[in-house]
Amino acid sequence: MALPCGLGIGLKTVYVDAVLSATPGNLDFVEVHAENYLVDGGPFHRQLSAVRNKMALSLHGVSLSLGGSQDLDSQHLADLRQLIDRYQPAQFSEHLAWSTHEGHYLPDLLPLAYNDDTLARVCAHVDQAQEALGICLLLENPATYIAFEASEHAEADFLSEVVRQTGCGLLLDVSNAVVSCTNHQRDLHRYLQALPLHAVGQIHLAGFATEQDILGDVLLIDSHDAPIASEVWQAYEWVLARLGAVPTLIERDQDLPPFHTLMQEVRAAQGLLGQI
Amino acid sequence: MNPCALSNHLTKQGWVAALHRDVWALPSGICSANGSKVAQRFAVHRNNVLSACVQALVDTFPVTQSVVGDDFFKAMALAFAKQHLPRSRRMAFYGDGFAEFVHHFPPVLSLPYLSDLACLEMARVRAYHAADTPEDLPGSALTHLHAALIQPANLHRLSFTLQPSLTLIGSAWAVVSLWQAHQQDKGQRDDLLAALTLDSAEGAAVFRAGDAVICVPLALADLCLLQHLYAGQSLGQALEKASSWARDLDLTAPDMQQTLILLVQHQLITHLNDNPHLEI
Repeated sequence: MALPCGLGIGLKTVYVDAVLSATPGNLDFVEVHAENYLVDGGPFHRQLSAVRNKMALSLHGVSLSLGGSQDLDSQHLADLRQLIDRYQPAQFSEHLAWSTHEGHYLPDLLPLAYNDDTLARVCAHVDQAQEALGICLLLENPATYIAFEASEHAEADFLSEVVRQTGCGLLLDVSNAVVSCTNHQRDLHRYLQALPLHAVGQIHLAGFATEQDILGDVLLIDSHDAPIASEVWQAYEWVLARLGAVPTLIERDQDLPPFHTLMQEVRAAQGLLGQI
Repeated sequence: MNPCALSNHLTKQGWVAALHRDVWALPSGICSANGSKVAQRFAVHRNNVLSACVQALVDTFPVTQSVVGDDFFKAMALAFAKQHLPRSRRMAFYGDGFAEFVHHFPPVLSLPYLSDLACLEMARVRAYHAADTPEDLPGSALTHLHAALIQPANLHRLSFTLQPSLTLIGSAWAVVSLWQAHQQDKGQRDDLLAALTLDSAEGAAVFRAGDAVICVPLALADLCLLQHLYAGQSLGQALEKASSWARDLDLTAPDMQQTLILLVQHQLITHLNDNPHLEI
């Protein structure tokens, strides 16, 4: 089952009742972080089952460590497969990032150098994940703050090559694109154009925090704790004009606003999708 | 491993160290587009990692935090995070080793009950996420128990499998009352805390009922009885051991009837086993 070409929000416990009583058509799908549901039982599973009976689900992983230098954790893949079999999500997405190393889990999405070695490794990891999970994975473009001397490829070219070699899709996080392009002083539209836009299966929109670096330049932090910024809305319109309607998620993980406030952003995005 | 892959691997080792240690050097090979200092940019990741760890502990230990104050708790949580990077992606359980850490954390040695309070709070999180009990099992266990009660002579032969969400808490300190006081609004809490004798051993059963996590205070001998039952001993064996233990410590004897009522009332029995070979 494909993800409906409409709007979704990240499901949080405080939103469950409102989501369950939402008028059909106001909200088309929800997304959950897979790792939060790697628990044996209890309210999380009961709530997710109830929501899943009502609407489509996108499962979003944050710890598979596709950009790691070590093998993927086969137990984690098995756990994810169990979740996928149980909840039948329309999509499963993960990040171009790493978060595990030598038995440690680092709760962040850490960047990697873009070179032939990392390309081969990421492609092997994506192949392995798609095989183990029985699902075409969407790979999310990262929000990054630093670059690597060892990088040989532009990020968009790297992502294009992973998509080409593995057949995975792209989760286009428009906010991440704005954050990274600002932080690395790249041209946003040139970056977006170089991405494998034909493979976009879902769009993420989120808020970020604005800081200044030591030279006084803007440093954007991908914080998911604020309303979506105007630059992100503009970039979203630019993307929709080129791609047509794409399932879109309003991603909010911190400083959660009341449901009706979050739904204002959902309606704003619905308005833009509806103009396509 | 080819040289490029090895360098990639070693770079990650540098990252892991720099992301959590107190004394850290920037990992090699990183840069910024505008020539700005990379330390500030790298610090975004360090902050993400450590604040996610601290937040997981804040979410797990609200009463422990309330007892020591927000700022102190966060400093203690940060000290834990720097020593214990997560080993699992299941951040809900990141607090598993925290009570042990608190027990040995020098600044809180004057609060010897704090570690047991943290144990109780961790048991609540474990109960919240524990496996569900298949719905028909408590009912059928109840039927078996009912049948057994009709022949009380055989009651001592019974042993139980108890709900997976159940944790039995025993402490030399009044941590159950302390935790309960913190569930009240401020006025009532202050009265309860003022009347609390901390230097008083307490027990509790922590488990999930529906979506709610329940904490039922237990008399010490009943706690002992339940601990033996939890370990799989028969009612007769458990009662004998708990009674003997209570006698030695000059405590009130265990109350088998109350204990069975607790187990039945909260559907804590998932399997009931008759052991006909057992004779006392």
